[in-house]
Amino acid sequence: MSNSTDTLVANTAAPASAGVASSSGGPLHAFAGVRWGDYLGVAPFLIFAILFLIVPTAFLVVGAFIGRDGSFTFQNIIDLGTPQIVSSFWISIRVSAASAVVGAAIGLIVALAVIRGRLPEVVRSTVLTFSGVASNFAGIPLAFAFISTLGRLGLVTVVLKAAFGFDMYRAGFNILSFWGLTLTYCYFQIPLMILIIAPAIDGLKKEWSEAAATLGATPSQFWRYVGLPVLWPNLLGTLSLLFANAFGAIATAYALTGSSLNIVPILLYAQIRGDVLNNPGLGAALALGMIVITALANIVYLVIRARAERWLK
Amino acid sequence: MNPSLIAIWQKGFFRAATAGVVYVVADLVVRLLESNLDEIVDALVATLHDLLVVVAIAVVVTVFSPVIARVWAATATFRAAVVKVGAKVPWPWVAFAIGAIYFFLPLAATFEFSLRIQRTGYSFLAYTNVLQSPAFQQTFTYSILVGIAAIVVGLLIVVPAAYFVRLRAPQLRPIIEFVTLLPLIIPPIILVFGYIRLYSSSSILPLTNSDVGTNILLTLAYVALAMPYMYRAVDTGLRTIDVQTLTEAANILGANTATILIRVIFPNIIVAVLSGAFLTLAIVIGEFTVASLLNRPAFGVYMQNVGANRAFEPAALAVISFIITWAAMGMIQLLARFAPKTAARTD
Repeated sequence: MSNSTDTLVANTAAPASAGVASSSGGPLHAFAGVRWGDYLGVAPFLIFAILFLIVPTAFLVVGAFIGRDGSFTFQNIIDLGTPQIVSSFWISIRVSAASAVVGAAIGLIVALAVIRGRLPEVVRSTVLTFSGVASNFAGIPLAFAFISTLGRLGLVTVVLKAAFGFDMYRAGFNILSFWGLTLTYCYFQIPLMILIIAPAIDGLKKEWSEAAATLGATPSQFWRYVGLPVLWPNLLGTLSLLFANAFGAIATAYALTGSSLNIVPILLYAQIRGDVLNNPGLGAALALGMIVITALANIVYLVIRARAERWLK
Repeated sequence: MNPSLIAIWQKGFFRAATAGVVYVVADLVVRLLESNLDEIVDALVATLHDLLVVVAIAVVVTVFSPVIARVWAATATFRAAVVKVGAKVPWPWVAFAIGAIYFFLPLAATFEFSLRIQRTGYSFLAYTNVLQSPAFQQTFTYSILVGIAAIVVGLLIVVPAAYFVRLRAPQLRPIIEFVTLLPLIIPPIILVFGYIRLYSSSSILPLTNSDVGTNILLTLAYVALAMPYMYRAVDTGLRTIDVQTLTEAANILGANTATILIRVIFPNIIVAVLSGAFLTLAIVIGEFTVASLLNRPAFGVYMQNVGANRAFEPAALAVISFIITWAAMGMIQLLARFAPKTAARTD
């Protein structure tokens, strides 16, 4: 998902063949100097991207501005202001923000412990491999796993009740609630955080902490004045990526809560299935809202990552 | 006034105020996260109330800061002892252990739950129920087939593009890379919504009219979902071999571009290609959103159905899914050991 070496390699793999113009200029300029034969190689990719990525998305974006009678309108966007839709956006934003913040904090602590805590190399490679697995272990099975763990008959619930007489559900916990969903989302958010932040933590050179120590800094001063300021852009960027990741997720929430928790993707799912909002244009507007929010979060990530990479080369 | 006393008051106020602000902000965030939309005003009022309390506490702390400073100084040896004990705790191990518990507890609990199907004791009945059910076998086979189709189509699209971008058209790289990131930016549910609108019965390319057409659409959707990972895997593979020399050598021997791609480049990046393929399979095999909205009999849809109707079989399915994901990732790790070690030409 993140790879800082690509731009470097782009330069080293400079072409030997003739007919390639200089690569300066904007995106349209980029096509100048590409030979026709080379288009044949890139063409399937570009055609696929246009037909199955760009046009379908653009079609929805345009559809958000078309009314029932087929004319241009802002009515669909205005209709997003109904209480049901606004509250679903609010719940989605809350769950995404909470799982991103909690996931990023715990992921950072675990990554720091594993990479800079002088733990054996085996622990580090195991954690990174496991993170690769766990960050892909989302969707329906994840919901099943958490129902088996923290559901009314889950192992933790049962053991706590039998051993300590503590009934989590009587104490107000519910796996189908906001915090239950957040806790479940953390199962893929934390590993994702570890995977993305690990290279950045590797980039904190040993020499820096040694230099700080030589100058008399305590470990906490090192983190306060050197470590965190260097990691800061990466943390913020990853936070927005985690947010977008949770915002678009649906399968886990759907299997966990059915449609009782009214988050945006589930509302959109119901709308696609059966037009529950009784307005096709409103569905497109809902999609537009999701695109805008995830795109904004991703753009924040990409911009901040580009800035952060300067430090970590 | 004693200037050192003023300094102590200033310091005391600064610390109390900082702690208070941090508390109020954290409190506000948690309150906002926990409130529904109509409760936001209540949350803000409650925070305002907290702020007043914090200000009062800060004033009291400031007034008593000389006393606190004296108590603080008197407990120096005690605090040093606490710090010493604290330093002995292996914090990295503690953090690792807490993380490990969070990640292994659900797996252990799911496994335990999946064995509870019979009242008499643990049994693997849930697993045999699942594995023997025709629906499982059909949907699993279907998802594997769609996954393989998505891998083949993905490779046909990605390998030539990555090869030409690396060898002849590096100026296209920013565009291609941006496109490969799009599936990460556009959530799958948006993508499939667009497909349903665009390729429905009344459109130019009515793919959703027939079963075959919908299967093709599902395959292409999976190609799109796997695109970021597939492109990255192939591109990483191309980076580790000397594409340029291989191409020139094959050219001199009279090979045309198709031959070069199929018989020279592809065998050299097979390890990278396979790891991309396994990653694709891991993503696709349990995918729910797209398959469900296209009404396909896929494994993810089957799992959701079982989850809505059965108690113990879902846990067995979760364990099986986890093993599949783990196997796919394990294959990638294993393959990494066989990756060619030749570096790209640097001149």
